[in-house]
Amino acid sequence: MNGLDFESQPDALVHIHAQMRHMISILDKINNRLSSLEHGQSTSEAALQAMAKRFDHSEKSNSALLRSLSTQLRNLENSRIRFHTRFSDLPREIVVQIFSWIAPHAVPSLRLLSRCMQACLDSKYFCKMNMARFVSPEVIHTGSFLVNDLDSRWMRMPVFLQESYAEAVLAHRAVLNWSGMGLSGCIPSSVACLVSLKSLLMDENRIHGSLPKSFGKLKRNLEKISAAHNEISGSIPKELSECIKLTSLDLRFNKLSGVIPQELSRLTHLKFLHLSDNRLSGAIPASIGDLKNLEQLSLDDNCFLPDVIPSAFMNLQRLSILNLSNCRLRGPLPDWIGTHLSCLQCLNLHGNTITGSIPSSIGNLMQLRILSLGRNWLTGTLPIELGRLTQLDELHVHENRVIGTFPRELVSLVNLRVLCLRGNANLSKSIPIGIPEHSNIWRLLRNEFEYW
Amino acid sequence: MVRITSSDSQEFSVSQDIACQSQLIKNMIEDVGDADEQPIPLPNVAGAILQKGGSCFPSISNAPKLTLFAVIEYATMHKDDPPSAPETDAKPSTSEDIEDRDKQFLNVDQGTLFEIILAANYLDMKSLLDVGCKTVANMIKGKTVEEVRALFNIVNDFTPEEEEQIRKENEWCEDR
Repeated sequence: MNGLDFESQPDALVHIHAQMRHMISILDKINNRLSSLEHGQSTSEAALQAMAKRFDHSEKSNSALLRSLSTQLRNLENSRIRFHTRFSDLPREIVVQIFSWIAPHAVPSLRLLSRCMQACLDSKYFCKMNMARFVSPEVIHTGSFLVNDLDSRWMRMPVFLQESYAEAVLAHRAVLNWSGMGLSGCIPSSVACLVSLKSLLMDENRIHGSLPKSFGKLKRNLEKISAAHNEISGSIPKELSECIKLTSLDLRFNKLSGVIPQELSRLTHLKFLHLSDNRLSGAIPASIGDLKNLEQLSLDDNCFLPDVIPSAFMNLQRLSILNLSNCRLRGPLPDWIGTHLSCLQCLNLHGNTITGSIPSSIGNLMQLRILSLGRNWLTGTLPIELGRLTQLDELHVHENRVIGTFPRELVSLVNLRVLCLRGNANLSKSIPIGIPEHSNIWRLLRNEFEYW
Repeated sequence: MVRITSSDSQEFSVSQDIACQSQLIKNMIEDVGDADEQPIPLPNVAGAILQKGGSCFPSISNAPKLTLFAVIEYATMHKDDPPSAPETDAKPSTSEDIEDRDKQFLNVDQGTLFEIILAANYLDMKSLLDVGCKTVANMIKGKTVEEVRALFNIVNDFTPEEEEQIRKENEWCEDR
């Protein structure tokens, strides 16, 4: 630190050096001329005059050079004074503090300054301080426009920043409601840092990539994951089953593939399990039957292996919604659905290859509102017990092989709004006697039979 | 009164409420107990050599590391401030929140500003450190990377590939 700090001014130094060399060479020339004069080797008058002229000229240029040199030196000294402590002399902790006053979305461009500055800005310590400046604690906890703006960019941040941001901000949140925010990117594995998280809602975005295994680290609090209508691919990580507090898992309308992990049966608090409209394959695990608290289960529109409806599902006695449509199910419609799943409000088995007749026990499902059995291979007659389903709103039996006549007992279905019977070649198209003209069911039947 | 000595052995006598704006000095007084007996040495803080705002030094090689003179001026100016609210209750402040008198106080050349910040850091004077850092942040704000490099004599030591990588990493904060 002694004297001029040439290290910081290398160009100026080189410049001054070059000019000094130039001056020395001029002085050398003058010296040579003078000595040759002394030796009388060039004594003509004209030569002497020319010499004097040249000497005069070089003296002028030399004094100009000297002036400029001294100015440059003084400038160097001045700049040394003005910058006697330079930005780069500041310790990192202070540089971090300075940068922390610059808005989080503006500060990353400063990473381009130099390696040292980048290291400061990439530290977790910086991220934490920067967030603390721009986000008040209550906002960190509840979320706000500013934070949401950063939130929505979280999945596109570089990995180190994702982790810092997760630790500094997201780790304090119990609820992240990111539904319909136009998020793109992948769910980072630093989701593991969201230790306070109970509810993660991110439906209807453009999230792609797979579900990170690190979800399993959120076992202490996580109760709800909702990521329907995205582009999430890969398989469902079995580590999800470590989140034993989960009550709701909704992954509908994604691109998930692979088998449903058996381990999900450990999520005994699950009430809602929605995996429909994916590319899940393999067999439907019978172990889902262990999820005795399930109220809603939808596995429809996947690529499962052809199989019968797992009889273990008879344990799901709290089910109100069971959607197994387009699941390549075969075999008969089991009797236990009617005897065991008495809370069912919606039973959707549309688009399978279910055979046999509709069991009369179906009449026990007194709370049923939607019964969707269309596009199967059902045979036999419509059971008169259907008439007990007085809450029924929709009845779909179209495109099967049902025979006989429409039972007049179904006149009791006063709430019926939708009735689909078409596509059953051997079902009689006459409205049975006993169904009063212009009753609700009469109109539905007439409509259905007329435009078969 | 508290007696403090700078690195260049200059002694200052300041009232306790002014001196104690420095958490460092406050702790020292509390530890020692008898503030009047011995002057408190501050080996990292140079004395009054540096006249704040001035640009004259007796010798360049003796440019002080830290300055006590300006810091005492600041502490005197703020001796009647109410104690700052605890961090958790405070509304987040922005770098624009600088009192006019502080703005004036810190209207100095870069080197002096950095000296003051270093001194505030060493003396543990949070409000001065904050206001100093805010001032530098405001100098950075709105400038391009090249402008900031020029402002602070920062040499770009990245390879073009590394620069490209950083630009890519920064895409998340560009507007969609």
